[in-house]
Amino acid sequence: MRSVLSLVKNNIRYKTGAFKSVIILMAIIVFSYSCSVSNSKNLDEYLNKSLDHYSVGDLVMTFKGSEIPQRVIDGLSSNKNVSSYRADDMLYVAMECFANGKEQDFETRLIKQKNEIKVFKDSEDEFYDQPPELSEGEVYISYCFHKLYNIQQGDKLEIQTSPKTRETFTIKGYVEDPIYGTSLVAYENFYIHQNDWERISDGIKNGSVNENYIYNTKMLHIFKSGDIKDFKLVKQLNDECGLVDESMLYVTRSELESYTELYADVGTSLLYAFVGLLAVVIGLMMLNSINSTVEMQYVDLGILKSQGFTVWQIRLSYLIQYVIALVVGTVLGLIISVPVLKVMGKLFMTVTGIWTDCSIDFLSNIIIALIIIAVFVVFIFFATRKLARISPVNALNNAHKDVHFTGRLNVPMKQGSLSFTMSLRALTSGLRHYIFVFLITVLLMFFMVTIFNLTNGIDFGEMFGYNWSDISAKLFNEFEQDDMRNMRNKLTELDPKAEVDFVAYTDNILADDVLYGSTATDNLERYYKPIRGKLAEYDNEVVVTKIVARELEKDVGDTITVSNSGNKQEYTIVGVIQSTSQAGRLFCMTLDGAKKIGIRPFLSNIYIDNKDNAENIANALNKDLGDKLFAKVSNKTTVYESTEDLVNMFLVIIIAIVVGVSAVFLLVAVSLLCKVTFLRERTDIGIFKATGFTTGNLRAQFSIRFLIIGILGCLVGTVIAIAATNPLLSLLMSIVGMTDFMHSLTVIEVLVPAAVICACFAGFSYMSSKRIKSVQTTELICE
Amino acid sequence: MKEIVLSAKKLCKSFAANGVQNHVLTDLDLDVFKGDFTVVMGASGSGKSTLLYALSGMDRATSGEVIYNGRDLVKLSEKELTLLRRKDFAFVFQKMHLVSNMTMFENVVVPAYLDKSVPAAETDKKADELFEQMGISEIKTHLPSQCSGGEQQRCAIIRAVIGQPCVLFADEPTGALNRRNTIEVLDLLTKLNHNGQSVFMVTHDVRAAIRATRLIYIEDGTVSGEMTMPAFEPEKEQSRETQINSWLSSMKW
Repeated sequence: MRSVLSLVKNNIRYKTGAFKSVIILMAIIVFSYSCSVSNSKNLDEYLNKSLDHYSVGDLVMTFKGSEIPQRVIDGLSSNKNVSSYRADDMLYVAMECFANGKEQDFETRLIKQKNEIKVFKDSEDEFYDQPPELSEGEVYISYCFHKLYNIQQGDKLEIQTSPKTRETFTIKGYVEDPIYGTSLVAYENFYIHQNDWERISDGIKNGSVNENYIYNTKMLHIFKSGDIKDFKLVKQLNDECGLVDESMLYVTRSELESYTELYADVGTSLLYAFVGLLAVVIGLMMLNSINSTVEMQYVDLGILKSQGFTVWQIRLSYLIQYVIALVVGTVLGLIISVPVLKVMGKLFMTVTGIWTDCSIDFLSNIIIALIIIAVFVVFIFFATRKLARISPVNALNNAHKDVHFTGRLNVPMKQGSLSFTMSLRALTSGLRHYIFVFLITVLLMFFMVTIFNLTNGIDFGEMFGYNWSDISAKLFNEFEQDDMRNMRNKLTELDPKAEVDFVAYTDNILADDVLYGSTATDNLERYYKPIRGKLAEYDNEVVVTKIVARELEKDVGDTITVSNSGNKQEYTIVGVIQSTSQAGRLFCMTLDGAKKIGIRPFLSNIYIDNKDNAENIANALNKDLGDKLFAKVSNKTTVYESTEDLVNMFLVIIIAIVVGVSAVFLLVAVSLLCKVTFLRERTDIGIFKATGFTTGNLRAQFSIRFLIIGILGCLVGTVIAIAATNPLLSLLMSIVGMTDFMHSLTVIEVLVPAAVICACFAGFSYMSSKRIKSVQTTELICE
Repeated sequence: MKEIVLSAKKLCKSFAANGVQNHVLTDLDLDVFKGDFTVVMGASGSGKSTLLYALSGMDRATSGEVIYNGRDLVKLSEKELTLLRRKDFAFVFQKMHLVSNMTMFENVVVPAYLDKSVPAAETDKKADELFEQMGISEIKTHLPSQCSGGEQQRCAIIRAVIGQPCVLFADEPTGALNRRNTIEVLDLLTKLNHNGQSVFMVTHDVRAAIRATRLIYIEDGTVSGEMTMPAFEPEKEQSRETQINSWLSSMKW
């Protein structure tokens, strides 16, 4: 064993093989997964702690009114699967609120301040043990709201209480809100002083607050007993006491977790794919390194064999060498991930609103590293099997000649393009030496194109369900069929080319006894494109997402039973659509179809001919139909812009990580290959120098050679990307409901990563080829 | 009076090893004449190869001058030395040093292509003629690994002379060859010299040395003896060998 260890020591000391490169690459792998695994685990752990702290139930239902229907209470009390329940008073704000005068396009709830809320201290890195008491007129907002929209302590928050009145609050601080605190949910909870809350509540009763703008609700937290699945309990309770039928909103604790962890999950999926790719690259690199070492040390290995070393001892020395490199890389990766995770945790906190301690989960990461190392150990044993073929006699007689020549294509040497043709010859005569770097290029190109495709292929409006009409109008409860007709007539008067869509949306509707969200409109074409089949045209037709179809095990042509507030109807599935709304758990129907189960439109989107006239038209509608609706000119609100900025920031970060890591990878891979190539071709370099080639000529040839590999790798990577990018992204993005990612690659999306890769190849190889300078022609002379 | 092509003056070359300066060439003065077949001999470690490096610009002397065409090679940049090797000097090595992934023909023409003033077609034609003259035209498209040592060395000589260098430096060109190939290569060098090519060769082999018109003996880094001889004639081979052996004995070889 001592002899084997001496071999290992010498191999490392004299930089035999890819010792340093494997350390760097392993460090990148460990760093990548360590950050994503630890971040996800931290988020999950602290989100659950927070949900427990706020006593969030397994099912969270919202009921309109100040009381929960008695039959629901009775049902909950008698159901053995319900361990307990709790109801909180809330004021539901149906209209937009304004922060520092800017409109914020989400629905909010006003909640009385409670002692359980977690209020951030000024450092924003810890919480008060006892949250400071709010004074009247003060409000706590969520951390995300503060961060994303840059709303600070002391800023003003206004709530529209009637067409002409607003309640104004001063922001006192920020809370961690595990229910609706994430930036991905278009709701916000505001905690206000009890007196303010009661004043507004009284205002609803006495009519000073318009009930179409703010109304009382109850948030019911239901806690399960036993292992019953959420959807089964919901179905059970709905059958027994009309839980869903009576409620206006519904969410499970696990859905809250999913929404909050959505970004982390998407990022982690992408990073896992990337880590897998890196692992393949390391394997290829080690294989190439072992092959090259065996070739270049053929004589030395023969000598070792002749001196009594067994094949297994030599293989063991390689194994120990690479395992040391992998272990060092693991340690290095873990060390690097400590500060990076701190930054990453802060970044994710902006999106999730959940504070984490940004700690590394050493145990899980070490276990993953050990699994990776174990796979590589098997790989190294496989790669070193060729050592058995080395004959000591042949090696000692130098019979293993021309090791770097494997074949060639008959590409003639041209005087006019000497560097290019010589580079091509060098490539074609030693193809197998370049295969691994070619494969790395293909993989990186594929991945980079995929990421570019993802960033450009996401239609932000579609992803978040935004559709920019010129005017939007919120319809009050009393809005009936006649009102729709009146509204159309009025609009035609104001703008003969105006178009209006009426939209209904509900997120607690049962389809075959499973809860989903649904959208109904009289103009589905404007909002959805069918992936299969067609859009719903008649009142007995629905279209579903792929996720719904899969969950219900239904397809186009099948029927489903949809139930809302006790009204049940059968519908035929006529098509499949894609939507990220409700993370893809959604179906759509016509407005007439929705009417059959008691769903009424609450929103209308108005599209006009003369955009400049939008303000006038909105005012005219409010004047004539103000008791039925509230119309306003649509604009890209702060919420939209901030969320769009946020998504764009994440996409840019993902691109930066992928491009940056890819560049480091290429640097390591190209440097390693250059080093091996240089050692192999050292004599040839000397010959070329002796026959009049300058160092510049030879370095240019090196670069051209790698540039050719880069270009070829990019071409193959692009072909694979064209075939596989959309299916891969559909798989990854199905978490957010994007089951059919469809985006045709553009020239730019191919050219940019290709240019990055080729520039890295040419640049890094040129830099690495500086060793050529050190080759002296005197090396060719035998003393 | 012979024309001097290369002139070394007070040439010194020393290497530092473990903090100790090892003086390999010391104040060496030597002129290389045009048209000569100069052979350098000497014991191992006497500085023959170091002299070849220094004179050919492959290595820089520690001090002194190597004058070629009025320029001191010691002061030339790496690029200028490369251009010198491209146009003016050529080399034949003991181990042939042909590029293994190029055919014999390509090994010859590719370096010659670097001289853009000569069209590729002309280079190819000239290479064809030289292959014909050397009697190895049938292995032009072979790879070096498919040829014998003698064939490879002849190819290396073609590569060296295709650019019509001023001086052809040869470092033990027959050191790795069998007897038959050695004779073939030496005949070739002799023939080139008869046609006016200046040759500067380092060798241990007396059978190679008999081709010389001028013999230099190096000892302890300096020229300790010199002998001129008439041009080689095969029928006088035996007597030349005796003469050189006798001279080498006097040099304490």
